[in-house]
Amino acid sequence: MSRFTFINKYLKPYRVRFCLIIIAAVCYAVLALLASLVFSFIIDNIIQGLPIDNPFLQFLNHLLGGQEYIRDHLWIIALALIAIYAIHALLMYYRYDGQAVISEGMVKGIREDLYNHIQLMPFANQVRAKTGDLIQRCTSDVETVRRFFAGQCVEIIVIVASALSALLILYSINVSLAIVASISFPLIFVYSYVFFSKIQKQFLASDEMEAVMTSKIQETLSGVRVVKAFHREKYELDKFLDISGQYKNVTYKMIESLGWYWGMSYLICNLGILSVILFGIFAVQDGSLTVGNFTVFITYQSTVLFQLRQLGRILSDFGRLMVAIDRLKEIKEEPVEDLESGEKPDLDGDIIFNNVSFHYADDPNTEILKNIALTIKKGETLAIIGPTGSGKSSLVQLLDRLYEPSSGFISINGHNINTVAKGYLRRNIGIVLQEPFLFSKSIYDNLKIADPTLEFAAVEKATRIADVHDVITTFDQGYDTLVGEKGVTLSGGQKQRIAIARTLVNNSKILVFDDSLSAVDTETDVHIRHALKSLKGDATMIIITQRVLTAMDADMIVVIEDGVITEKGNHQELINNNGLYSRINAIQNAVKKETVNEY
Amino acid sequence: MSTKFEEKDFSDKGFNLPMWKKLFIEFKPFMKYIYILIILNILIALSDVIFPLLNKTAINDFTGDVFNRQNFLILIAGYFILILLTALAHLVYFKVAGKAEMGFGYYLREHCFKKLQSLSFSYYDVTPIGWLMARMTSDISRLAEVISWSFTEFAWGIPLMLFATVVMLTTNVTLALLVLIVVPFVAFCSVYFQTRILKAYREVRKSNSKITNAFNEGINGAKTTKTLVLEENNLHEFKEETTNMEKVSVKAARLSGIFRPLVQFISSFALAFVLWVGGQLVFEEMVDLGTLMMFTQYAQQFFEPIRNIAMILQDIQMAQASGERIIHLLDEKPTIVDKPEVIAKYGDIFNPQSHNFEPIIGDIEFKHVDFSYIPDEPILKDFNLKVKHGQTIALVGETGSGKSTIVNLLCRFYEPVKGEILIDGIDYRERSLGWLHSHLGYVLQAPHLFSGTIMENIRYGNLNASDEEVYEAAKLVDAHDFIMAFPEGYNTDVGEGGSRLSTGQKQLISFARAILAKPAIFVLDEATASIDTETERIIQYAIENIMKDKTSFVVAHRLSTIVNADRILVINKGQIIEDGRHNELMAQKGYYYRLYTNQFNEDLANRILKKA
Repeated sequence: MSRFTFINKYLKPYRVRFCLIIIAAVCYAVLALLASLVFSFIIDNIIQGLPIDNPFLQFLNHLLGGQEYIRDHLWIIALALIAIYAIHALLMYYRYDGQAVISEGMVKGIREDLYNHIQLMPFANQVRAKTGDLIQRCTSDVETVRRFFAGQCVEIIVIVASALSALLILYSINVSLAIVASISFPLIFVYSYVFFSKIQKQFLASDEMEAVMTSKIQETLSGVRVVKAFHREKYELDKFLDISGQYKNVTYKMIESLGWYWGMSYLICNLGILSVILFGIFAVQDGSLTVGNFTVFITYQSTVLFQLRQLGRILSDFGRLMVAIDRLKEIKEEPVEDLESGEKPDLDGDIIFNNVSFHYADDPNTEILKNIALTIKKGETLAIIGPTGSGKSSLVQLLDRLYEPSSGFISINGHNINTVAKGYLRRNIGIVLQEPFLFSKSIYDNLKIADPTLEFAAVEKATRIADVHDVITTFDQGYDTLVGEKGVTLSGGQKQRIAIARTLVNNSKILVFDDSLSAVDTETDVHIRHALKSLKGDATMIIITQRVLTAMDADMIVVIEDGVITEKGNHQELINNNGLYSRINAIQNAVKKETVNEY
Repeated sequence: MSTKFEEKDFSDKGFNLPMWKKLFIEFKPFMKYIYILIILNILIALSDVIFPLLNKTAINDFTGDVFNRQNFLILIAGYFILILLTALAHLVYFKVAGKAEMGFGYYLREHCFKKLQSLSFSYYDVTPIGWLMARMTSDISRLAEVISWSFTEFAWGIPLMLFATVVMLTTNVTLALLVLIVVPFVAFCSVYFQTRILKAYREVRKSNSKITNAFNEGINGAKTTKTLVLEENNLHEFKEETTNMEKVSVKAARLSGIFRPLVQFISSFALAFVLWVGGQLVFEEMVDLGTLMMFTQYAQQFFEPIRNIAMILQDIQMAQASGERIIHLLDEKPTIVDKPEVIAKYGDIFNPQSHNFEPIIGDIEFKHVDFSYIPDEPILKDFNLKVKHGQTIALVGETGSGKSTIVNLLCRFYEPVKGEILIDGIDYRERSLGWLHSHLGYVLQAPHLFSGTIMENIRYGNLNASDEEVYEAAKLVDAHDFIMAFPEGYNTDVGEGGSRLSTGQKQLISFARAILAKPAIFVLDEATASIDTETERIIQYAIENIMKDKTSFVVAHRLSTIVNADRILVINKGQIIEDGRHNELMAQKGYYYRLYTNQFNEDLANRILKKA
């Protein structure tokens, strides 16, 4: 994808309007130049009665009734001037309005595409992506693009058009003076361009130093107890002052550079104007220039100089724009998942793992799961138990097609899930994650997030099963309480229980609990599982846990160690097996007997 | 400790004179810069007014038939000198304003930082770090910037208009009035639109932060989104926000899109009036061409300061809010301070007189100590405890029982509301904070490391320690081997907050740091986080090592630490309910017994599960 294709996609709907605002902008820029001609018209042609050679002024003169008439009715010229400025203002407004509509519309499209693209990236890629970097692209890089289309882009064209028209008019008036005037044009442009390209480094240095200072403050504040306990106040102060001093110095250097720039560019611009005044007077003296045209030279000279200074600045930003577009393009070039294509068969049946092995794509030597063969009968409950890092969670991620097995396959109700549409598959499997994520909206909105049309009764039923209804009602705003920074801070256990309810409301035929009761105390755990059992009906359930208590009632219990199934059977069978399961069980019993001495 | 932090509302008030007075006292060392800036601004304004005057002379005196060569050279020289001086004034203006801005920012940060260092734990308990961060960064930056740049911009705008008015009035009253008559319209229009524009952009910023947040949640909640198939719903909601963003942005842009052309249009009336009436006057030879030209230039220049007036006022208003917050912080009084006579002898926290610090033996006594974080909610009441030097005291109890409070009081992070705490028989308030803290070895529950190398972090305990002493301390807690296993050994960067190390490793380094301080009193708020069996064994060994013959207080979560303590205090509701050695308490079959057996089993279960 080229940069142009990327941008063109969003610019396309506005192409006509975009062209129109450019035309409008060029028109009013030229109109502003013409308005300054009116003054010379009054001096030269009305007051001094000189013949008119400028076609615009000839037209104006003709329109307003001729030199004689205008001389007697000077208010006409005032009116004409106001009329010109009225048109000027309207065209200007048309441009500002248009570029706002276009840039905001484009950015809206870009933002939405990025957001959706990130959502649809395969899970493995999402995990690998750096959050901070992605966010920066989606915010500040998008902002760079927006700024360009919200003004800079049109401004470039306006400045070029205005400068060229001004030059054209000046050359038509007096060639040699126009040459004098032109000398300072490239000077100011190049100076401005080079300066702003160079000072980026100083901006960056200042920003970086500020970041260092900010993190120093952050660190000292969050470690303030350690600072005090070790009596290191003076030490920290000295360190901070050192950094703060460095920040002061680099930023001051940057401001100083800016001062040089403003001073120098002031000098260049005004010396340019002075040269026109100097040679202009000579030209007036030798009769090759009228007084009115002399004023035109002075006005145009300063207008164009300040515009070119601006142009240099804008163009020095161009590199950053290109980088921003590239960075946005990179996101768009990432592959995405197709959620909808594939079969949508009836998935209400046995789940079979057929010799499934799995390793991460970037680490083929570390097998996470090895030859897992497992059948879960429809309507039964399977418990998986094992140490952290044994591969339990990977098993679930394969079932939900967050990852694909490296060999073997999984089938549900006789259908290889690789042929099933991902969205359909995931909708049919209700997974409660180990570390569930709640969105910063109300608890109620979080609960019905998968189906906003859900009735409250259905939600409440789920929260009661998940044993969290009573917790929610203790909050001041009950179900309307906001989650997160601006609302209530939930404990790990409360989050898990809300996540359970959030999954339960979907009435999935396959329910998976990925260690999702770990932060809940044992009593609540029992309570929830009891409620689930009576509700689940013919749903198939997979429970991943580290607690024997949670696993013991399952129809089948599987122990996974190092990616391999080491034990399989029901509670009683595994107890007799003398493996890991029975060891864990022994401890659980120890709790009941309160026997310390066995340690 | 549950006092909620409530931010004082500083917004939307009129001009706060007392605040600015206070602020300008702070600003005193920088006032000389402000004077220079004002003078420079007046000079620049003067130059802006003189230019059209020179142009007038150029047209009147040198485009006619009479051409005085000498006067011409004077004029050109005048132009040249004025340009040079004004360019110089611009350069100096930036230099001085930069000096003022950066200097004042530095100065304020230093003062705030000192203040923050001297504030007590009780302040940090209720003040979010994010709030303090904003004071130290954006508020100070904004205040320094506005005082140095925006404030002084008045010194340009007002003289410019004043000088121009005087020149115009003295030249031609009629034409001057024609320009001035437009002023109120431009002023009204500026204030009307700019307040609305600023308000509209506030909406844009609000929407913008919502979008950023949505991206954040979209990325962090990716797994949840996938498993619940929320992609479409999320996008739908996101589109609602981007649509709103588009709406408010276009609205804001549209307002400024009206404002700029409109002001230019209104200003054009001044120009048109001047040309009409002025042209007439030229005919009647009441006014010369140069003067007419001068007026047209003033008619355009005159409105520039007015156009920005609302923007500057808004800047100042925001700076006022920042200033109030900063003054609020600077006015904050630390709750724990040394008495003047103590400071006289031992110095303050930034200038300690360490040579006057007496050594500590380690006998500690709590005498009738009352304490509460919030008045009327006592945590400790008539608490008494006597500890002989060299003993290890384990404090056991539920969350909120007061065990952490006891060690915090001991460390003088808080002071008793009533009663006293004696160290070696002397009320610790008779000695300085620095004295106590430099004899303290403190290991926090969640070990906090500073970014930098491992070496620097251990040396934090004793800044004068040699490399050998650092190695020694690390070896003592058995951290040396894992440190050496890093490619860069002791020079390994620990990352921000120690993020590149595991919790266990951080803990060991914080132990080594405490050991290096050679403290007389050890305080350990022990970690609850589950650490793997191997590390746990090492930490256990380290603790026993470092607490030998030091008075030690351990807020204990780990059983193995408790078992070996000289005294175990079971704390419940601020009272010692059981006191004795492990065997004695187990025999009592009381609270400790119940607590111990439960924890023991949880520990065992965890250990088996974590084994792999």
